[in-house]
Amino acid sequence: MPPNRSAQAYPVEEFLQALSAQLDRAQDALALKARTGRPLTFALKDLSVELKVFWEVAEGRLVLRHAAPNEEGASVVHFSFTTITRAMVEENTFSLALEDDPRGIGDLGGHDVLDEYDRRKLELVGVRTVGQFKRLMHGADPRQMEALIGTPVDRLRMALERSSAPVVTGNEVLQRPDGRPLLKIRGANLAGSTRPRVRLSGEAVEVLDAKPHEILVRPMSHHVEGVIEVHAPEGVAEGFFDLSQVRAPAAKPAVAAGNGSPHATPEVDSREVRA
Amino acid sequence: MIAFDAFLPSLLESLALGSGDERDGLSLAVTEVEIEIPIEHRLSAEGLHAEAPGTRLVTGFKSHSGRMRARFCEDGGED
Repeated sequence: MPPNRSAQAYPVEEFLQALSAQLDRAQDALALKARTGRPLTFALKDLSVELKVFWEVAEGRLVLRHAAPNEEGASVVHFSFTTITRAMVEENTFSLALEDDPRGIGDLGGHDVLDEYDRRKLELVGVRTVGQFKRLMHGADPRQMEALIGTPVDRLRMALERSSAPVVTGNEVLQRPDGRPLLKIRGANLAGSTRPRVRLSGEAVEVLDAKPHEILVRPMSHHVEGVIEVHAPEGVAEGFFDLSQVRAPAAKPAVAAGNGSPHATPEVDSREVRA
Repeated sequence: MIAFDAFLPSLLESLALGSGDERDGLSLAVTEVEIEIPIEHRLSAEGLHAEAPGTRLVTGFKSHSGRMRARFCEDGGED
């Protein structure tokens, strides 16, 4: 974690992440002793630490600095850690896979929309993705949100407008067993109540499946690379596709080594494209 | 001071976690250890650095000791 410019002070969450990583390493070190032939090994079950620190505010963030010798007035902060199971971690962790719009708030634009200070304030209320931002703003009066978050209503409206615009963030080539590739287009706001129209290199292609965050299309046999256009209800999003990696073996049908069955497992060529 | 991830195992390493030999007819093994000690600490980019305070050395500097309590259990054992 980068140190604060003025002092050896660190944001609380970064310090806790670093400390958690240290506890993981300590646990690994204890577990390694079992491999050296020791009959008894130990694991760290609970830990609490009481630290003498000073709280400071740097660039709008609360940071911790340890008390130096002879420095009076330090605060005492207690951290308690206990072991938790993988199931408990998963239960309490935000799943990006379930988020319908996992873009970061920063993807909504630069300082003209939400600046660093606004993003930090949104993080403080638990908003880190565009999907969370949309849920926060859904049905809310932007003026009330201005009063709550402190971000000017014009910028909130602009951010909300941008958050609902369709965008292509990437695509993935799925190769079917028969050798024909399908193109999975990822993004946000790509589909609504009506099915979007998709064009590859200017030609309409069949849309097999459409969800707000991904669309599955069937490229034509001559499509190799070009522009993706998704005509969604809220506008048009563009990106680029490249099927050249799968088109070359398609000309000469590939045979999987060993069992002689063509393309025993679907191949995936994944790439990120910033629109 | 040393990194906290090295400090914790070294604390455990410093303890005798058993005594006697089965061949003598009796042996004792420790199955749970709880250590509560004062620590001198420093925050760093890697997390925490710590050491046990040098209580016998008077330096003229009054260090701000923190405190830590760690409970180690036999691996695989129930709490």
